Amino acid sequence: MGEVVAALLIGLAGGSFAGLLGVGGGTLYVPAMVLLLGTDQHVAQGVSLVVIIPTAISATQRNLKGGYVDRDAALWVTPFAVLAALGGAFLAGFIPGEQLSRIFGVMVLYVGARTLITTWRRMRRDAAAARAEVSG
Amino acid sequence: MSRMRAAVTGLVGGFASGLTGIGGGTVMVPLLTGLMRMPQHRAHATSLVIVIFAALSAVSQYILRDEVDWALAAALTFGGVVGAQIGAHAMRALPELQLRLAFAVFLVVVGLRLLVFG
Repeated sequence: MGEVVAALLIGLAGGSFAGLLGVGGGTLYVPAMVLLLGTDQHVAQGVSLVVIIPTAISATQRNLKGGYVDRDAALWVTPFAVLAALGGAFLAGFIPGEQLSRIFGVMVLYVGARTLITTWRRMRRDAAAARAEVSG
Repeated sequence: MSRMRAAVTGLVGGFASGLTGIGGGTVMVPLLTGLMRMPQHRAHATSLVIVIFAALSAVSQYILRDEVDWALAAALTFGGVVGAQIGAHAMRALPELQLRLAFAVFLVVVGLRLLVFG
């Protein structure tokens, strides 16, 4: 019973996070299952993929109503993404994964940190402009 | 919208995701805002559509290898579908820059985790 409640809560947290950030949620689902429920890593990945499909559809229904989906872009990006992912997954079998993940981690960290700094600056600039408008 | 850019976005994002096992959305959102110049909300919503199909294509091998615990998947899905509605509502409520900041924090955390744990 406790395990079911934990799974429901992991789903709830992962789904919220996925709907907000536009990602599948595997980043949260997989470690949560492995660490909190003791699920085997491969099974956790399989379960995560199964769960991602209905949750992403659920958020997408809402996003379609809100007019946020760029249908044209989705139509053109998706087939290339799916084919390239299959190619990438095939190649991954031949190269040392950990080294590659670390290199990729540096890239993700760089993009994240740069976005964080530029966005933070823009927010502060906007706030300063708003204050100037009020006092002026 | 440039079809050329869309194709490049798909190829780069899909390849990086398949090669490293990192989720499609994590690479797709920065590519959609960067390469395709999409506003943040639009990029998140469009990324999710791509994620649906990426997951559909990847899940079959796990099912064939019997690496799915269906009871666990059902419980997670129950919470996940409700959570997705909450998340989508929250996205709508957040202004552009705040949403961008939230995604940047997510990228930093994912990047650090990849760097430290491989």
